[in-house]
Amino acid sequence: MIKCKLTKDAAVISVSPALYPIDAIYGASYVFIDRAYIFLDGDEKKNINIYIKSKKKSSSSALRSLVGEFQNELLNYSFRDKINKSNRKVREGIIERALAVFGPQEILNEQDSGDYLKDPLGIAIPWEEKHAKPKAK
Amino acid sequence: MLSLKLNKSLYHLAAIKKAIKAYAHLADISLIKLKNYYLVKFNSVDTQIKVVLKDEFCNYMLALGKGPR
Repeated sequence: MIKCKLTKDAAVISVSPALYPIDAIYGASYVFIDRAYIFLDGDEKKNINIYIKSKKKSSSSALRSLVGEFQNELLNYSFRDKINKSNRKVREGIIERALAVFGPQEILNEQDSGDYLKDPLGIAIPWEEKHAKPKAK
Repeated sequence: MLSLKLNKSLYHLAAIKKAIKAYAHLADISLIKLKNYYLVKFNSVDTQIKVVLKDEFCNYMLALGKGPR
């Protein structure tokens, strides 16, 4: 549940961490630090109070709009957090698989011996020499 | 003198210390550890920045680490 209280130049949003994880609150706050001053207080387990103060002098309707945007961002970050948690095992599986196939050992084995003098494919031979027409005798 | 009470469960000590270091040229800042809070005191603050110092300090901490985790 979100409770919101507007004062003259600031707003206080009370959020339950059970509904909006603390990481979502940090994420949403981070998005707004260029437009507003954010201060967090309260109990991490019961209720977190987010104090929002606009950096510019603004009307109450502008402040209300800022608070609305913040609440939307809160929802956005909560959803992202939820997806992040539910996809974690899949992501870890993909990375594990990628490392298992192209692991560091595999890369080391693929390295050549470093003998650059041998030229079994004839790469070092100049094109003119390689494709020169045989001289008529 | 300005003071700021920061909840221990919401603000990380490392972030507070970094912010104090960054704002050291603007004020004499001291940190006191209380039971559930960190108390940050700002002394000899320039009058021009007095209004925004605390707010900017809070934003800076949020920007540093996005909280305790």
